[in-house]
Amino acid sequence: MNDFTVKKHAADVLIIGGGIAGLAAAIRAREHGAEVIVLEKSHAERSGNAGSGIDHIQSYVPGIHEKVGYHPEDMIEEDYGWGGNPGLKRKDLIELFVRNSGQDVIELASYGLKFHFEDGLFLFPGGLRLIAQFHYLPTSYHFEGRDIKRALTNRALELGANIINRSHVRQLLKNGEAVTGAVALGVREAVITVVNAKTTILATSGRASRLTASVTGSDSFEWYSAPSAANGSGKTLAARAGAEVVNLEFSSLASSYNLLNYSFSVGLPSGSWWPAGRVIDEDGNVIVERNQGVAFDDPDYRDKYRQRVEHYSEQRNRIAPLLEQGKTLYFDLAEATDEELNYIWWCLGHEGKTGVLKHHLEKRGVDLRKAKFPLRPGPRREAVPSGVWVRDATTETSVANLYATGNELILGGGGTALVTGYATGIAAAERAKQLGAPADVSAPFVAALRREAESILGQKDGDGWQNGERALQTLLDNYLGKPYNDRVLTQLAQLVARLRGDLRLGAGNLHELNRALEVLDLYDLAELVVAAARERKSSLGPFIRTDEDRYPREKDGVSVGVYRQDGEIRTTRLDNGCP
Amino acid sequence: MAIFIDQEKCNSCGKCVEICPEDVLWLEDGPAWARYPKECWHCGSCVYDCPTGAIEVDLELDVSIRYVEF
Repeated sequence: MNDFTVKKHAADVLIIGGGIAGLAAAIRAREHGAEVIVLEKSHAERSGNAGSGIDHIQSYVPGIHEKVGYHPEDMIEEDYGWGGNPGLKRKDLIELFVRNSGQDVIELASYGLKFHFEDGLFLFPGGLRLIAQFHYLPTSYHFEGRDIKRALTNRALELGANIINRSHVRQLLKNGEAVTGAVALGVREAVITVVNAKTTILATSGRASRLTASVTGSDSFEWYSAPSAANGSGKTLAARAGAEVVNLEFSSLASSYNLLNYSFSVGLPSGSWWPAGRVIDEDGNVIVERNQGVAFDDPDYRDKYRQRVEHYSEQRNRIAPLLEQGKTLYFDLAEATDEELNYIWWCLGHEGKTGVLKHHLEKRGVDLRKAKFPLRPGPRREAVPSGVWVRDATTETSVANLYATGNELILGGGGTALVTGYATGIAAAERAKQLGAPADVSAPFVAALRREAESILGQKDGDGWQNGERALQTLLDNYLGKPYNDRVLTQLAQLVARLRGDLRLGAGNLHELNRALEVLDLYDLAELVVAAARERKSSLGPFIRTDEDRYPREKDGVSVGVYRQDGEIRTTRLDNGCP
Repeated sequence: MAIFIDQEKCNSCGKCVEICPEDVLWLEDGPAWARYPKECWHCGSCVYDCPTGAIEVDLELDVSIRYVEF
């Protein structure tokens, strides 16, 4: 039996999660004079969705966008209407992102990340590489982001933030109506860490990929498009502390198609494959043409670019239906020039785990111009594009002194994580200045965590965490995306409860114990998902919508919020400001 | 197996173990080793950060990329 040591810390601002958003919050909170602690389940240098890099980051780019008549208001409308940045799906938060993004993103260059290039490829003024993404103008930079997490970690440490790695937060501390820190379990050492803090930020992952199973049938972690840390624990922590989680009743599609057997499309045929990627059929007919840019000095840049994006989207939208009809389609780079191929290899080397894909292809000497990669049809349902509700652009939740940021607000990419992280860091640091040091109320929380840990470690013949996880995934896969009615949802709630009742998780060491606790959070999250769907029944279509636009578009101005009170799940309706 | 660690090149510095986001790699006496290889999600961080170039990560067969030529 492990003998857990308790270590106590005090901070002005506690940040849960050391991804891009959490580190950005740590940087700004330190700059605003706060004593900062970051609790990170993994290791900040390589943790989170951007752990081994991102090759692009989204932003409004003032000097360039203004010149072609594209204003922040245009981007706000596009981001909001497009629906591709779910989470809370709120215009005030999207506005926060767009308005701050120009200065915030380029600040990364001052941390040593390369944003300016001289090689003549796809360059805009200042040597910037802006690339097609989802807007009527290019709004993402390609940059050398492989080590973005290390750069942010180093900056946070230089400023004096205390990052406690391998520390898995299990419960928020609550004193009366306010959150006053958190209690965490060591992943590698038998330590229970208590942080008493004036303000607390949830900088946890947005999606919870692990609620649904692999479509490849692989039992390895590789099929996930996010690291295993993305288990939705921020949402379960928030709900247990009484803060509403919204949009749990929707699922997103991780992708409509993937490369066979790989788990990741990297924006195919665009994204990291831009501009040379195409899609062809088995006879070589082109389904999606390559998508080249427009010369920036073209006087009709804006209109031409818009037409090109529309044409490209139209073609791209044909892929999924054709696959569903049984057509065989291939991803193809036959028309790529040498320069473009070099560029694509460069992108793959910076876009997270595609660095390993690059190595895999290079090792086998795959000629990208000759190889045709079969597309595997989706959809793979990925619950859930949800977020932790915040009152306004200060990003404070409805529970006092608890903030949410990053993917918990906007399920965007690195840009939204960075920009919202910065803003929340400032808000939480400023709020902390108005507060005294909180009382230490951790004793019962520590005792409960110790009991929970010892119980799982004592269960020598218990269920392995992998079995617990797969049982839940199989159950949810059978229900998510189906039309529902009251009866079905009541039955689903029963199934989840029964499964949980039968679950006897066991663990042989700290590593397995922490995996088991992640799985318990998945069960907690599944209960919240079912409760949200039951509440939503009167207004929208199928539970876990899988319509073409992929993400929820609230039509009635109402978000369903789910939280717990004395352990019981409660639901509420929140005005999300939608017209 | 996705992770290959060259026993000769590894100098047991522990950097890969320190940063591995999935807590897959371990160090006891001798070179680093993959204790939980099924939990590797092929992010490549250990390859990037190994100071002696001792680590290779490749895609496992069940998730490796397939192609034809025509």
